[in-house]
Amino acid sequence: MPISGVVIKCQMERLGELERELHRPGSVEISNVLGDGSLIAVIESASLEEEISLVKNIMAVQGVLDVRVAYHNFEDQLMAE
Amino acid sequence: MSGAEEETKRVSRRHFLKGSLALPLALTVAGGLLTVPSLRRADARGFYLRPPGALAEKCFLGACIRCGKCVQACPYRAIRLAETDAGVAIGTPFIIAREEPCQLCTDLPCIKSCPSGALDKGVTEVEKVRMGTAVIIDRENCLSIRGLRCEVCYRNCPLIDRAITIEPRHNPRTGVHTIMEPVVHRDKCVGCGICEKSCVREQPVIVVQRTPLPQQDAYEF
Amino acid sequence: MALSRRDFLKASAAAAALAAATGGRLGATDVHAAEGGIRWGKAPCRFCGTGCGVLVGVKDGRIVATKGDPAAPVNKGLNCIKGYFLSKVLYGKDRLTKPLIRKGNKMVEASWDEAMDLIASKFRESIAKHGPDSVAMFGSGQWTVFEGYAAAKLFKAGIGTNNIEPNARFCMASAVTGFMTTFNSDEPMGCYDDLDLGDTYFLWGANMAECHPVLFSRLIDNRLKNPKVKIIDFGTRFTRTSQMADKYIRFNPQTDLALLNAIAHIIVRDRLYDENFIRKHVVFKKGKTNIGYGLEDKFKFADDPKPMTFDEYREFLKPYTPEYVSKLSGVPAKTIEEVARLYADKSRKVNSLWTMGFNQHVRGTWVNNLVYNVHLLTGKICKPGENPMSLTGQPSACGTAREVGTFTHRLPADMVVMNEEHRKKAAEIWGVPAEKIPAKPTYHATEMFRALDRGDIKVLWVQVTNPFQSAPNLSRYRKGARKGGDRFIIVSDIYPTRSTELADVVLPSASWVEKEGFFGNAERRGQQWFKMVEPPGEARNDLWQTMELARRLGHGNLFPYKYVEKEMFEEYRKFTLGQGKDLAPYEAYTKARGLRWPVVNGKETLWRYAEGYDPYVKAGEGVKFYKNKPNDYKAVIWARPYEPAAEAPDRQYPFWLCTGRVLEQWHTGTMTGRVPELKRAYGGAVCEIHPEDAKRLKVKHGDKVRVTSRRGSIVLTADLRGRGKAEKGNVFVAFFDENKMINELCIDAYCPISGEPDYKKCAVKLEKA
Repeated sequence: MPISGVVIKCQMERLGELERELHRPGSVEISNVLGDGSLIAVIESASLEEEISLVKNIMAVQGVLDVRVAYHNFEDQLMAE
Repeated sequence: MSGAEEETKRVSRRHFLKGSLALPLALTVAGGLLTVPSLRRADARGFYLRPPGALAEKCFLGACIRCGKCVQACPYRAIRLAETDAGVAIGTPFIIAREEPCQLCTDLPCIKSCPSGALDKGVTEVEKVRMGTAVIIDRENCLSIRGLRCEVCYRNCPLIDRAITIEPRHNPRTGVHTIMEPVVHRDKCVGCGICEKSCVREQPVIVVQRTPLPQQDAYEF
Repeated sequence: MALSRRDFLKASAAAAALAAATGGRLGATDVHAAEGGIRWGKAPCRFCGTGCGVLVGVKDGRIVATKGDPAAPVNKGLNCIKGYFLSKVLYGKDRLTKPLIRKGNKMVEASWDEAMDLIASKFRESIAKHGPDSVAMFGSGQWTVFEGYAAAKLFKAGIGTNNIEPNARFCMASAVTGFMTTFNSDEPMGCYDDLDLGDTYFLWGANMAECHPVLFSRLIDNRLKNPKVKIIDFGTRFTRTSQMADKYIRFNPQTDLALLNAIAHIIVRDRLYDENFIRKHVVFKKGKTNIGYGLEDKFKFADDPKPMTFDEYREFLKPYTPEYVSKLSGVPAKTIEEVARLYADKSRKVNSLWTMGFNQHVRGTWVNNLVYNVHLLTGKICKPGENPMSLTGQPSACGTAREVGTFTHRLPADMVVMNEEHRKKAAEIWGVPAEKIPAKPTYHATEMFRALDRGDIKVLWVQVTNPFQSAPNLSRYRKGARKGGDRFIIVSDIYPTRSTELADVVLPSASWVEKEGFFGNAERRGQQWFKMVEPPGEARNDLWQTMELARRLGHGNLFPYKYVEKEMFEEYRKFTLGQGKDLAPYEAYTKARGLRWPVVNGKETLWRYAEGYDPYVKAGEGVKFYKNKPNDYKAVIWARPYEPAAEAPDRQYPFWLCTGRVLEQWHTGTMTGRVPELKRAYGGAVCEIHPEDAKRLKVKHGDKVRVTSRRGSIVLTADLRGRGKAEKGNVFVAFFDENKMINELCIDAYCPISGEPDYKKCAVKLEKA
């Protein structure tokens, strides 16, 4: 199950709403809200494909400007192969 | 000041005495007061906060005829009668400060009403009352001692600047503020319990306890 | 605690992302950190003008905790118990959650559209039938800057009326006119650092111990560290402040005017003034005398300033001998001499601090002038640790009401509607023709409620304040609100109050961190916060409500913003740049624990008008009152005489009534009254009486007493032994109790210059009840 740390850049005026909208324990866990409009989140998913799909969905949410991956761990994926 | 949220019922002495013997019913009606831990009955050492003028406990228990007149005389309904858990003290008057403290009526109607002298008629001034002594029992949870501006106990004390004073000291954590610690003076504190009720913490950090025995030594400062 | 590998990886992921986002510059100030599921964010406290910084903890969409913000310079992590209970203030059981419309005698729930459509139609009808001056807005020193700015813009540039007033007219107006007449610019030259750096503090009619608790804590610590420090409390009532002061000086109400003139008299008589400072920085003026009390509707006053020479001023001061003033005030002549010497002592750094004793005064402007006189004569001003400091009561009377200018005569940044240049500048920034902004002020607050009573104002919208508990001579204005006809009252609030009960429409509002906000405190510090939780039910931000009305009235074009708060702030900021009132860019406030204006090149100003601290003062200038161009960049010493109060005690009404506050309850108690702990600590108003007066009336402590003035009557419990000790012939009652509205007894006499009513002095009689 891949784990990644991402920076989600948001429109300032939607920041609060997006934090509530995107936060989903076990899937997208938002740990910090920054004053410059960024949300720091940890994303977990069952597979790499699912992860990519999840990130794409986040990017499509109105008010999200960008999603940057800062950390990615896919050890168990490799080990499974 | 009454501040009580109970309904105002005419409490006849007979009704009250009846009620105190029908304990379970009384508890239900009163909203299960015993379940709230901060409303102490007797404390661990069997201390009951007696009405103003009460003789020393042993004498008091002997003198009090459990008539309930002081209960009726109190305009704030602060005095109540001890119930079945009180052993030999059943039916004697006491005060739960956290619920309704003694308001130190200047004419001391409770003492006037007592027929047996269990409340000593020699106590004629509120300053001479000695019901107990207030003690800060939890310094770490006292907001004033932690440096916040509270001191509600001090501001509400009927003997302000005598029974409770503020001892200011430097707050080393911020470096620019004062810790305004309320300090109780046992020789002036009457033990009314207004401080105990006023405390804004969920469990009061200042409570009325049995007055400690006086001790003397040779030091003079 | 054993972390599973998964948890460890997740923690690394979050840390790496955070580092990437902040470029490694991780400061506690930038980040809303999550801790045990609680997310913390910064905000200024919702209560008094001190402006303590707090951290608000949110979990599952609810405020679960607050704590003092250790990073906030104002309070360094401390609060008073009002601040301590902030997390409970918004969660009272009777929080308003739905718009309500009056139908007959009932308040019926309605949708927002229904309510706003109705409000808009009432505005439209009234404007069409009776003109734009028939509609009005009564706002607040608890408005955020955004709310105040939007309201001012809508009314002045959209509807085209100057009928907008804040409740700050009732608390700070005299301080404002004091600043304007003396310095030609509002707000103090000093800051809270003066509390740490000075050694002599005169408190005038200010119960700092209970009303500015954290500032008082700071002042006392200065004295603990420096034995030289002296605190002198001038009061008409012995308070907790008096108890901790080095000296308490009681004086007869109203005689503060005479006392300050006596101090000036001695300073001039004994040549204790700073001749150099006076020559460089001071001009002398006199105004009209016998200026009245504003008791008649539509009372008008215009001062007629005339220049004076120093010698003429000296002549003016002659009658104010210590002996004469001693008889008038009850202060021993010797004490007056000592005080004057202390004020003038060259080895001392002297400060004066005041709040409502000076401001809520029929000669409030004058007494503010007079305290500045003493500092100007001695040159003790605009220096670190040495300033006169007007303390503010509300969290944003400065930031919103005064700086944005939500008054009938005002525009942002010290500007006034009467000035054509000012109107032009405002119109340009607001994108409207200059003629749109009306040139004449209409009503100040008291006159506004009189106009409503008479029916000259028909539609009144009240936001974030409770005037139908706080107005003086209250009964008249409560009755006036319900006289019917074309009258229509809208009240936006968070709880049912004594004002919502008189409304035709009640709008449920968002409060504090339920919306993005900006407050400005007493030391010119603007503080911003982000929205942290949703308001309950259908409650909406007052800002949104105002813009909704604007849209429906065809003035939506005034609010063409996407990110409303930020864009509106940047627009408002334009007014302040280059004016000595410079605000920083919005972004800066989101990061900082507030900034004191003028902020120039990112640097805040601690001491205004002072070289080396104020960027507008050039090298070599020393001190320059650069806002006072009409007076040659000098401050004005005003010759203001003693004049008696509007209504002094007499045979029929032999007591002075003074009103005010206690630490535990704030203003009309709508918020603190919903915190059970604060209610238990101090639940109901009482009447403080001197024991000798009580004895004469056969009143014991705890007895009921009836207090009556010519305007109203109330039964209260007598308090003879409380935290405040009334002087003989005086009584004191706090005004927070919605069941004991003492302001019914107060007189609606006001300072003719500021319009601020005198809540501290009227005549009452007492009877055992």
